[in-house]
Amino acid sequence: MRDRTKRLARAAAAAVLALGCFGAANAETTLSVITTTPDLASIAREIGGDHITVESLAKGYQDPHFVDAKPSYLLKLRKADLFIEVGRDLEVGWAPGLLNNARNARIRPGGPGFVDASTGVSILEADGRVGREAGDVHPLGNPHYWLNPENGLTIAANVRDALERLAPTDAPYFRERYAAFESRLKAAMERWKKEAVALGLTGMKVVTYHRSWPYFAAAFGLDVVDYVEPRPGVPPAPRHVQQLIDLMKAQKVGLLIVEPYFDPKLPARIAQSAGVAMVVLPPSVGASPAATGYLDLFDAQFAIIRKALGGGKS
Amino acid sequence: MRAPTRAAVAVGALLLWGAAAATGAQAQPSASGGSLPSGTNLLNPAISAIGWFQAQGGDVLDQVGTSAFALREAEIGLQANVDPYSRADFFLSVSPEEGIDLEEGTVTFLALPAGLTAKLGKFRGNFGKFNRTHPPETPFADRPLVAERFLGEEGLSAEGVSASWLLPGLPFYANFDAEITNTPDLEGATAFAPHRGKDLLYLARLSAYFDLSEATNVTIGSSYANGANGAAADSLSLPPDPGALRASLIGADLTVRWKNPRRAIYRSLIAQLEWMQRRADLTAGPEITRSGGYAWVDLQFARRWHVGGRYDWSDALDPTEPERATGGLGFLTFVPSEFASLSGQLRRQTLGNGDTDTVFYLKTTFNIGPHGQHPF
Ligand SMILES: [Zn+2]
Repeated sequence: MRDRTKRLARAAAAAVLALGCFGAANAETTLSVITTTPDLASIAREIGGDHITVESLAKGYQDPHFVDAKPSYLLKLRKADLFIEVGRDLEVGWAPGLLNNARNARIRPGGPGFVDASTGVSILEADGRVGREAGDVHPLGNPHYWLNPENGLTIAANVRDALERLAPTDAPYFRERYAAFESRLKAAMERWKKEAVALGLTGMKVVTYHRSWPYFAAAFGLDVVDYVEPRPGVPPAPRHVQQLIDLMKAQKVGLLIVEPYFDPKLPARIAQSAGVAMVVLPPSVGASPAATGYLDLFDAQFAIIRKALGGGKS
Repeated sequence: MRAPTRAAVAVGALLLWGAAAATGAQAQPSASGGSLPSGTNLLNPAISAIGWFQAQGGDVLDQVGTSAFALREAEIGLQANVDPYSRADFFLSVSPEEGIDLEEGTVTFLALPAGLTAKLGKFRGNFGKFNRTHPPETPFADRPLVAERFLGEEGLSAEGVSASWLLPGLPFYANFDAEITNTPDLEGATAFAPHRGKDLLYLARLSAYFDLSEATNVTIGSSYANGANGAAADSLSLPPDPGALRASLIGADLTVRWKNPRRAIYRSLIAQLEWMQRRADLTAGPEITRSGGYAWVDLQFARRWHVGGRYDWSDALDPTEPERATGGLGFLTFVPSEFASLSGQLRRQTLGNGDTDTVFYLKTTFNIGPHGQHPF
């Protein structure tokens, strides 16, 4: 009887050892990554390569503040090793409930598989005045920080650190891919900055629909003078619309930038009255056919702006 | 309709406790993960408050004890994570009529294995769709006839334990819920009423969700509840063992939602049908069956405007009043922001005896506190 127990124990130990060896030899982990937005998914793909599978819950053409928390998302989250969110309450209307119901403690806030991609990003409009009278959807500062390509690098570093934490043996692979992404992004940034100057975008006064573009403006030197919807989440009053038209004429605003998920009728009327070119810019990967990845997103934006400003100058 | 023994219930509840505690002890919190923005006040629970103010007019004002203006309810929510494995949710309802009442108070264990979560405390029973919704958050100024007649003024809510299981291995979302609670003491002539401490309420719900397209989805659900029989408590001829009589409630619901994700804030449609049937044992004679339901539609036709209507039908639960009442409610709602609403509503009901009654309402709700989850 005792002999048999010993034999069993030895066999079990051998099996565990064999599994351990196999695990170590099989260094290529495939981690399942779910992100809230396609921009995060694209950056995660840059860093994780074929060692991860990645999917975004929201599509690029959706307003990231207003995504429905569909129960079908729970099936994806349930099996995820890593969950990455933009943070700063961008997804407050839909992500927390999904994480509570996903039956996956790894990816809850505080868990090893939860990443707030805004960590380390210097957040604009975070002056601590949080009040509903100023609109509600940006209570923790402006969350649209991925629209400065330099913040894309911070996001990438956060993703890299999280992946290394979950798959330490793959760390060299992730670091190598991060370095490659960094050099591609920096080269592209030089190119975009030159193009912004060539197009007259740098120094240009612009009006945007939602407060989605302060980071883009900071990156390329645009001056956002006003908004169609100055209080995020609160529709503009008619009086504001008239004041805006007057201001756009007086200040010689060069461009009205609109996100694709807003009804273009009102901004088109404003642009026409003020005699200003209007562009519908993709704010996220997948929001236009050309915006297929994080770097392509900015290329797509510049292509649209170039065309609107009379083209060809670049 | 024999209930499981008290011992079995106690063992079940203990097992749930044990499983929750054990998972909590085993899971490893991460020191490096989960960095939150510095602006978040990590140590305070999220505090929110919803006010529901209402004016009403019409036949309802003929009755004594009704009034034209009412602060129907102020609901105060306190919600926070307890630790990495669980969260707590408290909802206090404050109203001139009821005073301060703990509407819900639960701790939910979220880190259980095998696709389970468990909840302990006082909570709204997971029966159908309407019962789970907090009253200020429904699109209606009133309660559907069947909800009022079967589940009472405040709805089915009691202390107990609840487990929720996300069914594995399916290509679609399906969830099974099981709850054991006290049989609630509901207001009005309702489906259940307590007799003795051991007369517990057992509840089960199976629901499934399907995306028909990116814009359209369907949720179907079926519910079952079995508890002590309310009718017997009111009866003059109490049986020798008053707790022996049971009543059961079965329910079915269907919800269809439409919203173009490319224009999410402008237009949406929600349509819902809920039906329920009650069977109750009587001291003498056969069991009695009563049923009812409602169907409603809410169309968001502009960014800040909703229009909708509801049709109601319901038997009376009292066996001496077999007639069925029907009714309808129409509403037009203005939503100036995500946090306030103003709704004009008109309801007309035809009672079992042929009397009709017309009421109009002006419902306003407003909420403060941190941004909560959008309803879905
Ligand atoms: Zn925003």
